[in-house]
Formats: sequence, structure tokens, C-alpha cells
Amino acid sequence: MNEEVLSKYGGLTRVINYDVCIGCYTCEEVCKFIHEGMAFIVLYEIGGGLNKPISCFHCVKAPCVTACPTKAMHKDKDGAILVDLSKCIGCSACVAACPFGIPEIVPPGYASKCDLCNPLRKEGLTPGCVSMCPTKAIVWGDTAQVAKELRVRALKKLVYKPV
Amino acid sequence: MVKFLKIFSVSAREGTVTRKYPFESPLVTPEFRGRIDIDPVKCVGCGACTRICPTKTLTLSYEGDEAVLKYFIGRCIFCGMCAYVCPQNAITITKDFELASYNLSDLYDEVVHRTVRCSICGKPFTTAKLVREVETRINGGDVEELLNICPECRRRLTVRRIGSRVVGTGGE
Repeated sequence: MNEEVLSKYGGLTRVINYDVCIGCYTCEEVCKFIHEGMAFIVLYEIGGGLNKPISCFHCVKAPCVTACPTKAMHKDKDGAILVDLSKCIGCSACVAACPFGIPEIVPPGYASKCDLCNPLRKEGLTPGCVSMCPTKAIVWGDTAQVAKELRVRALKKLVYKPV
Repeated sequence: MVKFLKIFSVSAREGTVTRKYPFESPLVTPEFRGRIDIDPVKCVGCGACTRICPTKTLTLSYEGDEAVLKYFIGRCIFCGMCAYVCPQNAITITKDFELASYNLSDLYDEVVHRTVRCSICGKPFTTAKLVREVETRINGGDVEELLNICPECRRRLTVRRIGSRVVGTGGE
């Protein structure tokens, strides 16, 4: 089953659980530290004084990959959407295509976005935002396991809901 | 001395190899790179050429409702990088090298594009042709209204949408 799910849904998924997120900016600071001053997970106000993070969703059928004229935007074996800097020409087609406005054009002129901490993943570690989140609001892993984890959380919320 | 005389036999065999240039067509090789030519129909104003240009000969500036792609020949080093990166193949390298002029405005070439204003914040963020081009490439993958929203506002909208459903605050 796992093989089938992996091939169908592109392997690993990261989900940001807004229920437990406390908006502490830890993920943003960690991302800034890892990516030399550029944060790819950014917090925005959702109203009521609450701040919640947004980052690349690493879509299975990603518009940025479809729109890219040079195939610089590609999906790696873990399902993360990465930019191949040697192919990127900085045409900002991905910026116009992304429904969530995630990719950015950075100097000297190529697209840049969340790479799910590619160097860390190569060493078998989890992405920075996932491992540093104090409330475990950012879940990352096998699609099936993440779905299971979120179901358990939703059920717990229903059962233990304060009256 | 005798060696020097050999040149006469060579010239008699080959004839004249130089051209009477101003009166005849100049001798340019197939690899020769002259000024570039921007096709205003194909160009979408994405700005890839302005980002690769090593001398900032090509510039893209947003002036209100217009995005102007400006080419200043005076600074061009004829490297051909712009033609290499252009995703629409709008830039061609011509063989034209006779660029001297008494008039400075002859050294400028401009392509004017219409910009798209973000439907939320009202800031011009990209050209209308690029949006249409991306729309055809992704073939209905995006919601039409999202294409006319700037990236910053798209993020805020997404966060608010998820937030309003999960946490129950804010809203659109």
C-alpha cells in the first residue's frame, strides 16, 4: 500500500496544523538562520491578533512546475518542489502561476522558495521548521502517516473539547 | 628574398580577398553578434533578459500602468545572453553593427507593456501578457481571480482562508 500511496501522492508531506500553532515565529527564525537570512516560512496575521505561518505546500500537481519554461522547477524523490539554479532564468512565471504566491525572485535573478531543507534531508534529518516547532504544529513525513496523525489529533480535539 | 616573392603567386591565384566596404556589403561571419532585436509581439515582459544582462543594458521599469522594457545600445557588449535566456524567443541577434548616430534617441529601443494591478492592494505587480501566457501554460490550473492578485496578497488570502476555517477567526 505504501508504495502505491507514495507514487500517487508524491511521497512526503508537510502540514501546518493551525489548531496548535501559537504563532511564536520560531519556524520563521529557524528558516532565516538555515537559509542565510531569507525566510521561506513566513507568518501573517489572520485577524484577531493571531499570526500563522505559510510556506510552500509542495503541491502534487504544482502550477509552478507546469508554468516553468526551462524545467528548473522540479519535484525530487521526496515530493519536494525544488529550483535547479543552473536552469532557472528568472522569468517569474512561477511567481505568476503559484496560487499561494510562494516563489520569490531574488538577486542576482533566480526563483527561490522553500526546499524543505534539502541539505538536512540528505543527511537523514527533518526540515528545520518541523524539528524546532515547540508545539509540534508542523507535521512532516509519509503522506499516510501524516494523515493518520492529523486524524488522531482531530479526534482528540473532539473528545477532550472543554465545554 | 625569393621567399617574399612567393606572395605574388598566391595573390594571383586567390584574387582580392578584402572588400570595398562602404560600397559593398560588409564581411560578417555567421557567428557575428550585432545589436539585438526585440519582437514586441512575442515579448511578454517577464524580465528574464534584464536579470541576466551583465551591463544592465536592458532594464524593465514599472511606470504606473505601463511596464517599459528599455534597451540602450550604448552600453550593450553584444554578449547575446538575453537572446539565450528569453523563454519566448522574442530576442534575436542581428548582424547590424553600424550603430553610430548623431541622435541619442536612436540608441534606445523600447517595448511598452500594460501592467496588471492587484485586485486587493491595487499595486501593479506584473505585465498583462505574462499573466495570459502563464494562464495558457497551466491551462486552467489556477482560479481566474487569483491570477490578478499580487503574490503578497495571495499569501495573506490563503492564510486568512485556512485560518477562518480552522481557528474560526478573521475571515475573508
